[in-house]
Amino acid sequence: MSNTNIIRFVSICTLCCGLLMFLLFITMGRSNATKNGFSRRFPVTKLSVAEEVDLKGNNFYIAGYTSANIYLGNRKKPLELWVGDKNLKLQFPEKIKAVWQSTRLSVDSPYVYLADGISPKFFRGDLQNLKMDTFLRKSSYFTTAANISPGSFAVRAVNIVTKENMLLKIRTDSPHVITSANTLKKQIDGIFCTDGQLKYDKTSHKLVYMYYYRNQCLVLDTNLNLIRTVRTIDTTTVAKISIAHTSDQGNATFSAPPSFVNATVCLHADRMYIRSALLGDNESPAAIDKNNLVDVYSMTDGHYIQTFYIPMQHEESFTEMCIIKDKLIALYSHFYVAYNLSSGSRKAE
Amino acid sequence: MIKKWLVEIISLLFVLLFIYTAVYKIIDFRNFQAVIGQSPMITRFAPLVAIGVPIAEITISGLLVLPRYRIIGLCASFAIMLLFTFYIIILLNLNIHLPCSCGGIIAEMNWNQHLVFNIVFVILALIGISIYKR
Repeated sequence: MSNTNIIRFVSICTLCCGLLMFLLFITMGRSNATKNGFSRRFPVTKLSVAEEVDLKGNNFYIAGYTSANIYLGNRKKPLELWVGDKNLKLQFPEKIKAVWQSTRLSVDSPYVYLADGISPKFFRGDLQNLKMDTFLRKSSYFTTAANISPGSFAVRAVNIVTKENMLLKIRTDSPHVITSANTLKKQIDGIFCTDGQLKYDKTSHKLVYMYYYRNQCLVLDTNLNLIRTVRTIDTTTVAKISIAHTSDQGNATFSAPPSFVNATVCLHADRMYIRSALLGDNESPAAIDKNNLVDVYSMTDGHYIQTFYIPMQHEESFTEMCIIKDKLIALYSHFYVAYNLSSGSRKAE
Repeated sequence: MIKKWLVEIISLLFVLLFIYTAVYKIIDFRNFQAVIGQSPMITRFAPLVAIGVPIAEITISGLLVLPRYRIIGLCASFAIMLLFTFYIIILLNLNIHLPCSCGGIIAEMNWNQHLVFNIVFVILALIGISIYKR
């Protein structure tokens, strides 16, 4: 080809490829592109940043907190605990051969726990001496866990008969495993459609299971009895997900982007703080580009109370949050931010 | 002479790349189709793209192998790599975290490494086109 032909080909090709991708991009489905059919209570409260703490690394999760400290675990270093950015050396009675990224540490002073649902194994230790001991020997396989008391955990496991998620309580006393029949309601496949977060509030003694893909949170007592189903303010009653079975052994994955309703939850003073992924009809689309939206509900009666706009830091959305006294702590990729809850400025839009 | 060998090497690299990834996609076809469906840009066309991409890769390899059609193959390689590169650029800017579905060790790269990898191949194709002699 002559040089002019090459230049002509390259420019036409670049133009066509760019145009094609641009068309795909502007026509793609966005979860907040159409009206979501609900409104938020206005004026919303916009929180101000009190402090940003760099963590010198990624993959952290909130393991627990006291009135003075926040404890962090790390998915890539499952056996290590941090307080703020200081590494605490946990000592285990045996060499732990297999460490999984799903292993979680949780802190409820004076104890620290390690829960591994694949082995399955539990350890419990004292925050003072950091010596971990085997604990809850008679357990079950599980996929997520929440500590209830020094002698019990609530977990989510897969029922081997129905292949659906269910909730269990694992305790030191007999019976060691208590099942809760049919608490998580299957909508599509029973695994992905019931996915969510399990959290325990030690002040009100309530467990909450927040679904990711439907507008519901289950409030349970410590024996996994359903107290109430709280509906979040959006209108997604049935999970908008599609599943593909990728092997004959039962492996499955999403075949379209899942439509998140609730991103994460934290519990404080009998209230649920839920980071919503959906924009209300009375809000400007720019709001969700600059803020994370946190709706507050009462656990006592399930009512929606108010909404916080939490300004994004470094254009990121936070993955987890917790409330320590008058601060809301939001965990991002490699840093966390403390926001002032008390002196939030009212913002009318 | 050097130019002739360079074109041979570039063509061979593309054939290896395309056949390798196409085979991976076909072996794990159900997974490939599901994973590309998770990209909001492709969801609607996932079944079409899932069949189209490996077929395109194998066809281009065929063109590169046949001396008569090698220049068409080089141009097509340039086009398809450019298309993938634009796709990655948009994905990176959208800040969506998706698994890569190229297949094999190429899927082990993160998106930034992937971008560099693709740009290198785009440039290779361009070199191939410009030094190709009938």
